[in-house]
Amino acid sequence: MDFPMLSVLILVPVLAAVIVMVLPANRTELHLPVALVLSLLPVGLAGVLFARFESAAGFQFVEQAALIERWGISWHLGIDGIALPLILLTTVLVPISIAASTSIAKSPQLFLAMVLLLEAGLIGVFSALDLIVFFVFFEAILIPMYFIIGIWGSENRIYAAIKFFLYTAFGSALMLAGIIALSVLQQQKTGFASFDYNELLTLEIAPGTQAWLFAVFGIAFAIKVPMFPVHTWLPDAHVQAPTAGSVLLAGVMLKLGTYGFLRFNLPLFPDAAVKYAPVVATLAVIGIVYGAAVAIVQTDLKKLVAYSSVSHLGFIMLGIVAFTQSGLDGGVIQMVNHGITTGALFLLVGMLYERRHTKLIADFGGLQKTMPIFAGVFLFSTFASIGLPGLNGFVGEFLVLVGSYATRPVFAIIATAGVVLAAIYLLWAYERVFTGEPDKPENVNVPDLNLRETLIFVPLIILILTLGLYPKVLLNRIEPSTAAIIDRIEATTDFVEPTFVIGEPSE
Amino acid sequence: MNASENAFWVDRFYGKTIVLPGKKLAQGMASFDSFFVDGAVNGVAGVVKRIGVSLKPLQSGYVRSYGATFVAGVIGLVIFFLTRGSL
Repeated sequence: MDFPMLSVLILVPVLAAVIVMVLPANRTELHLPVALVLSLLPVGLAGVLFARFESAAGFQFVEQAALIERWGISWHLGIDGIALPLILLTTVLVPISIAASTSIAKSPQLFLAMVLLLEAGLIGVFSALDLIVFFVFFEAILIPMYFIIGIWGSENRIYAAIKFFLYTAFGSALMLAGIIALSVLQQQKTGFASFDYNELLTLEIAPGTQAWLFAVFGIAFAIKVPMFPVHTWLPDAHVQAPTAGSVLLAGVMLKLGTYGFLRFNLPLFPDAAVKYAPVVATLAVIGIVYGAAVAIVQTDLKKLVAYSSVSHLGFIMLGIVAFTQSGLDGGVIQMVNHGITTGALFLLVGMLYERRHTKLIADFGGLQKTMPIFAGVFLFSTFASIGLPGLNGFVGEFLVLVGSYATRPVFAIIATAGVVLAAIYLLWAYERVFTGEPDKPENVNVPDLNLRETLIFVPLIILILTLGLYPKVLLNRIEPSTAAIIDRIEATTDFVEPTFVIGEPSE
Repeated sequence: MNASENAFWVDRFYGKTIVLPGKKLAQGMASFDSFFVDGAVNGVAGVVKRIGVSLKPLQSGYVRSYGATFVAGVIGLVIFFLTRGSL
C-alpha cells in the first residue's frame, strides 16, 4: 500500500494541536512559535501532493479502509483537481493566520490548538470520498470555529457564534437526511448499503428524487457559500471573529459550500442540476450585485470586506452552474483567489484594529502618509480583489464571465456590474482611509507594518502575482476534473456544452 | 468661460444623476438586508424561542404535575380507543 499521504496530512495538525496544548502554560513565548513551525509541516506535505499530482481526471492519493462494513462506511480519501488547490490554500492560510495572532491574550494555547484542529477538519472535508466521513468533518469544523468566534471574538461574539452555528447546523441536518436517502436508494438498487462516493455516482436516480436531493444538499451548501438570502450569518461572524478566524472563515470555510456543489450537487444529481441551474444562477447574480451594493455603504471596514465576500462568492457560483469549461475552471480558481485576497484584506483590517482599536472607516484618514507600506499592501490586495489584469482576481472573474456568457449571457452581463461595484466599494474605502492628510490626531503616529507583519504578506503577494501571471500552474491540474463533471452532465442529461470558446478549443 | 472652468458640469451632472441615487439605492439595500433578510432569520429564531418559553411551565420539576399529565394522557388514550372501537 502506498504511503497514506492524506491521512497523514489530516493527522499532523491534530498532533500539532496536542503538542501545543501540552506545552507548559507559563512559557507563553513558546506557544505561537511552536504552533507556527508545526503548521509549516502540512505546507510541505501539501507541496508534495502538488508536485506529485498528475493532471488527469479521477481521484489520486486514494486510500480506503473499512470502518463500519455493515453500513458501507469506509475511511475513503482521495483528491482530484478541485480538492487539491483548496487543500493547498488551507495549509498556506493556517500558518499565516497563526503568525497574525500575536495579540491573542486569552489562553493562546487553546486558541492555537483550535486553529490547528480546524485545519485538520478542513483537509478532511476536501479529501473525504465517503459521505459519512465527509459529513463528520463538515460538522466537526463547526466546533473549533464556534469557539474561535465565541471565545476570542469582539463584543457581540456570542450572538455571532450561535447564529453561525445554528445556520450551518440547520443546513447540515437537511444534508444528513439527503445522505441517508442516497444510501437507502443505493441499498434498494444494489442490495448492499454504501456511503461511498464512487459507488453512489453509479446510481441512476429518478428526476423527481434528484430534485429533492439537489435541494437538501443545495440548501446546506448555499448557507455555507453563503448565497443570497441565507448570507446574514456571514457579516456577523466575520465582524466578531478574531483576525485568524475571519481569514480562515472567508479564505477556506466558505469554499466548503462551492466545493460541495461541485463535488455532490452537479455529479450526483445532474438532471436536477441542469433543471435548477437558472435558480442558482439567479441567486448568484443577486448575490453579486446585492453584496457589492451593500458593501458600498458599510461604515465598518470589516463588514465591508464581509459583504464583498457575498459578491465574490456569487461569481464562483455563477461560474459553477454555467456548466462550461471556462465557467467551472474560473469558479475553482476564483475559490483560491478569493481565499488569498480576502485573507489579505482581513489580515490588514485586523492589523489596523490592533493599532487603533477601531474598524470604522470614518475614524481613519490620511494613513498613506503615516503607514506607507501598509497602504501599499492594502492597495495591492484591493487591486487583486477588484480583478486588475495581471493579478489573480482577474483570471478567475474573466473565466467565470466568459464561461457563463456562453450559457447565460444576460446573467453574465449583469454580473459584470459586480466588477465595477467592487472597484467602487474598495477604492472608495481606500480613499477615505488612506488618502489626504491625517486630519485626526490619532492617525498621525500609527506605526507602519513591522517585519513580522510584512513577512506575513510576502507569500500572499507571491501567490497573487503567480496566479495572475501564470494561472496555468493551477488550471492544468484543475481542468481534467472540471471537464469530467461537464462530461458527466452531458452524458446523463440532454445538456450540451455551448461551443462558444475563447482562444484555442480545448478538444 | 464659466462652463469650461467647471468642465461643463459633467462631474456635477453625474454626481446628481448617478452617484447620489446609486448611494441612496445601496443604502436602501443595506437597510433591507438588516431589517428584512436578517430580520426574518432572527424572527424565526424568536418564534422558536417563544415556543420554548411557553412550553417551559410543563417542565416544572414537580413529580405530582408529571403524574397528573400521565394520568390525563392515560384517560385520553382510553377514551380514544373506546370511542374508536365503537365507531
